[in-house]
Amino acid sequence: MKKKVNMSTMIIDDIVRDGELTQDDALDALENAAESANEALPKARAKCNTDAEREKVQTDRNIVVLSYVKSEKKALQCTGPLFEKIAEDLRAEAGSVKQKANKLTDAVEAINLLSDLVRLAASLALAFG
Amino acid sequence: MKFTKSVVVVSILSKIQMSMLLLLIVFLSFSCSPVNIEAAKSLSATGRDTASQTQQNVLVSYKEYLRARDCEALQNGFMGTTDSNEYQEILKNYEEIQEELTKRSLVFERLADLYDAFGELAGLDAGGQTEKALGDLSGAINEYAKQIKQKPPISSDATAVISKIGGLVAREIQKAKIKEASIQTRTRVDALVQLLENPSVRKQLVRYRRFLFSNRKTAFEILWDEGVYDPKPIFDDFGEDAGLAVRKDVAERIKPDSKLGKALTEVIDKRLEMKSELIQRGYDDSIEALKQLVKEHEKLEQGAPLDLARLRTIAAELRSIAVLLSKAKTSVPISQ
Repeated sequence: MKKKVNMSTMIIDDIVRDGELTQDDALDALENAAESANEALPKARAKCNTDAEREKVQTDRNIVVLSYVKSEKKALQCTGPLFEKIAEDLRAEAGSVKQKANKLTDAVEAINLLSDLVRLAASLALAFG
Repeated sequence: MKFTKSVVVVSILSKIQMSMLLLLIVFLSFSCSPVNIEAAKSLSATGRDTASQTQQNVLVSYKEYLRARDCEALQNGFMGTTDSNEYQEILKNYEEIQEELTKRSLVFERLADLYDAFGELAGLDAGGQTEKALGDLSGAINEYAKQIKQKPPISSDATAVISKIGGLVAREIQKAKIKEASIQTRTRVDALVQLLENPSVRKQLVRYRRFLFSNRKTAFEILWDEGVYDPKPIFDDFGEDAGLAVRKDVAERIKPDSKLGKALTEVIDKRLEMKSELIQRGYDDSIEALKQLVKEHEKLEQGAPLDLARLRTIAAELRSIAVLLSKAKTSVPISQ
């Protein structure tokens, strides 16, 4: 718990020092807040005496977590197309390599086919010769 | 009739001689590629394994997603907030994030497919098969000549030479294709490394997994506080060296606020902390494995001997990390 607070403080310090807030900084801070809320929950729950208090503690935690997961989802959706592009390139390349392997096999099969044809010609020659 | 047969034999003979000449020209023009076909076969198997281990260590598995949902349900069920909008929204967002990550897992599946195709290309015995096919063809032509009572157009010595050269040429063609495929594969793997090394991409994946882990830890702590777990296995670990087992009623003897209770909580905290560190390490090792793959492709293309042992070690470590992250014990040492 102590460690998390220090980490969040460090992120905020960096933002203050740099004077700018990047998307990554904001998401880091949100995730740290969500982690801290998770970590604080069991101890906070132990101190609750009524159901209403317990609901309040959990709802507060849920609000923090929801802010983080919503933002992270949007960030992931932004970088998703980069992965899709590489997946498509890899799919095309796998097809191309398979084609290379097939062409090699085709060459051998063509020679084998020619042998079969010559053998057929030989048997025909024998039959009509 | 006889005249026609002779023309056919002569025509086949001249075609064979022409083919031989062509084969020689092609063979000389390839001037022996340095690519080692056996090394390419090994690289394809290791590459496939690396793709699969990387997938497990970089992305959130379906099992992790289900556990995240379970933990959320447990926390909210326990605290009586299952009717809240926030709870429903959190579950909806987990689902949408998982859909997004599932699309990313395609990259690793495609990479594994590419290594399968690469293995298929390297696994062909193009040289041997061509040599045999050409030998069979010469045999068939000589047999034909015999049937039409002509002198065999190709001597056995010539057959052997034709087959040998044909086999060598086919092998060189295969090597050239392997080299070409290796260059293309390397380029794609390198692009994936760069994407995974992108600071934003890296943070998104590591951060989200770390958060899910903290969620699981919270659910565990709630259950631990409720006294549903038996700490016996942890104490058994301590007694293992001495060959001792913990007494059956150990759980009843430990009070949460006692010294032993606090010590036990510290052991559990450290074990869970180590799992959190493993998430970062799994990501870094995955990138290292992919970088190593790129290096081995370069060596293959240059004809240098491959060092797949390093790559296999990283893949084995990735496998251990994936196992450790999905199992309870985190005290199992991992090779450094």
